Amino acid sequence: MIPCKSVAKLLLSDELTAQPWWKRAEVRLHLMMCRYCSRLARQLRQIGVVARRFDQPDAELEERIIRKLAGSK
Amino acid sequence: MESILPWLTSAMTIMPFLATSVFTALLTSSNDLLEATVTRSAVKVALAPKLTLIAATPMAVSRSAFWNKDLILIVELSFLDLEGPLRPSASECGRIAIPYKSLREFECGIMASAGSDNTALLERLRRRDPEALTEAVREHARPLLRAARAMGFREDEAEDIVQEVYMTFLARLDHFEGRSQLRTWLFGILHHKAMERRRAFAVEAQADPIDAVFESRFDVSGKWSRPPADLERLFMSKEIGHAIRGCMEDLPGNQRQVFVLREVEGLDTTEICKILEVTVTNFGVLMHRARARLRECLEAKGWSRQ
Repeated sequence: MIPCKSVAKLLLSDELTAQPWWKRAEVRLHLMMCRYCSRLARQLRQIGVVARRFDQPDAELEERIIRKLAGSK
Repeated sequence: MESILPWLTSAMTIMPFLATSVFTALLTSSNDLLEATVTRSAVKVALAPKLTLIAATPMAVSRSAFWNKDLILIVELSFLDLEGPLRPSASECGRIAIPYKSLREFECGIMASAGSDNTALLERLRRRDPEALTEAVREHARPLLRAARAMGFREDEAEDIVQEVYMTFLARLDHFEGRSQLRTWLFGILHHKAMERRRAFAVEAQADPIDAVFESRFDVSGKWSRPPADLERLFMSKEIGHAIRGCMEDLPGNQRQVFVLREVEGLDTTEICKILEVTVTNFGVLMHRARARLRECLEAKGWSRQ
């Protein structure tokens, strides 16, 4: 079976989708059986979700830029 | 006719309430999903035959959307968006739960449909259509600002840089052939602007301390010797956003930039490599280190539960 370290490398480096289908299947099978690797995968997913949600500029950004662009013509 | 009229009047009075009840029932039982169709101008969610709910713009949806702990996108949409035979006159906010699997289609739908509108938008920009410029700003300013902040610039500096990106964009518009996405071109300009300001996008070092930390978690056979701690308590807490933001600020600039472009802006690997002028291999190394650092940072904040 593919070792946990190899699975972790693929998950962390975002290279899983670039792998051939049999490798992706091997990793998915591993994730079904290994609670630590599946925990890592879940945490990486959650980190991305929270980063997307909380990193939001203020509401008037576009208006300021449009005004400045209009004023610079 | 006179015998029917009171009945009709009663029915017309009752209908909005019936519609409200149906709407609420559909929303509360939203585990049966919900086919979401996404374009740049609208998100259409099928609730039932002949009953659809349309949000004005995906941006409006994303601003009001949030995640619960089961990674389900909860979207708040106005009752007035409801179209179909039960469209009411009253307004009410409701929530739609879209499972994570559908979110990928949601995000890809936005990106895919954005590409097809590229040509039309460019033509309007070349004609100096002011509404087209407004549209380009509304669509890309926030991602550009987030990327600039990810490069280590303060809020005001990042906004100045985004301003400069658009100025350069307008000045060079006639040279843009449209072979790449407009978004890719804008991010590329941003990258060069950042380099001009000498916020060095340092060449990734051959060795990084986080590499040793990663190696230390495995034994010689590749099994976990120090497995990842359970961080559920942290992820369910209100402080998770601040925790992750703090950890992101501690990332080296190039790793933070790659992480933001990939995870926050949703750009694919090819686009990021083009923008940052790195190879796919370098991208993988940067993502590996960024994610490993973020994970270790969160675990070190002492929120783990063994």
